Amino acid sequence: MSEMEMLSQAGDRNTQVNVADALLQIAQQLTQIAQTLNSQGSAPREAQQLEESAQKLKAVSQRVADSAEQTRQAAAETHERERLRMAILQELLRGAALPVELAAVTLSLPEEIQPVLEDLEREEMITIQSIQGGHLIRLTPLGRVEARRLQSRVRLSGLR
Amino acid sequence: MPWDALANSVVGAEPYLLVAGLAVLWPVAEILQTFEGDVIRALKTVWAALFIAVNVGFAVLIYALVSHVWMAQADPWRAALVTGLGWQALLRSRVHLLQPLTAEAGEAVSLSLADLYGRFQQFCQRQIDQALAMERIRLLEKAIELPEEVLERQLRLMAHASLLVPPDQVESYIKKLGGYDPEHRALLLASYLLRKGGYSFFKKRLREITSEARKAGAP
Repeated sequence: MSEMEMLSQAGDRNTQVNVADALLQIAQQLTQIAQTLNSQGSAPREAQQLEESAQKLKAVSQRVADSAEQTRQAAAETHERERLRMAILQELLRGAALPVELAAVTLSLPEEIQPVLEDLEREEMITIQSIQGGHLIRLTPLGRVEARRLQSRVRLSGLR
Repeated sequence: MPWDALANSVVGAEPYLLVAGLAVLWPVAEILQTFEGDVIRALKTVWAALFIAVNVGFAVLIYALVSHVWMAQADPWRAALVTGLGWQALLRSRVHLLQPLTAEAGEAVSLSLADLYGRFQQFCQRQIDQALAMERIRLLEKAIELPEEVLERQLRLMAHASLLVPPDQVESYIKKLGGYDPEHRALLLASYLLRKGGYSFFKKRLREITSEARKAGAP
């Protein structure tokens, strides 16, 4: 995912959070008005309707907040996958590696890097060869080009 | 008299040495590029020796043919230089040995030097990779016998020394490994040390730690 996409997703999430907050505040105000009407005893039917509307708004606000949380989690997962992908490709420039070595050197667990390795294999960036005692992961020529590109991008961003 | 003959044969062999020298450069450069993290061990494998030997052998053979058939008598050095550089370039270029007359015959019939060389190169690369990986697996097997706290301490020291990994990240990783069984945890810790420190460093450190532990355990 590009930085722009991540920013846009973060923007969407912020909007969702703001909408959820606004809805909740409106619901709270409606509840207050309903309570005031109830205490005055002037319009019990209207007060009840307002209370029902406030409950519905609270439910909608909760749904929007849940959705914002899901977006946040998805963005974090995507970010982590992207980090792992870059780290794995760059590590493989130093030579072929065992999966456990890649997990350790990226400070992650083997099950965390497994989907990233599957993606990279599907994209023909790496090959996974069975050897005696495990698997060996190495870059393909395409993966080598991508790893070098990422490496130079990291160097450039370090210089800036 | 035998000295003269020997001197003559040495002088006659010099262009061959030049060809061989030039032929060594290319495969060594390819190994350097492919095995950045473990160059010395890669060069020490039988498969690297075979890879270099085949490159040298073919270059010398081509020079021998060129020198007998063509122009080498006039200027053997130039012939050696041209063969040494030209053959290596030719080997890596897409010069087709077999080319189908019709396009329909497809690439199955087409056979280029670069394809053949590429296949041989990949074969040797895979074998070198495998040989290096087997050595690393053996070292990891030894390392996981060490007490876990020793490995954790080494990891902390190495990570802090490198300045690239924030200490809290290392601590949270060690904590994250807490869910694994001790052997699996030790394997991951040892893998980090092996990959970050390199094979030679880790092997030496392992030997030192083991002997320190023996001394400490001795009465």
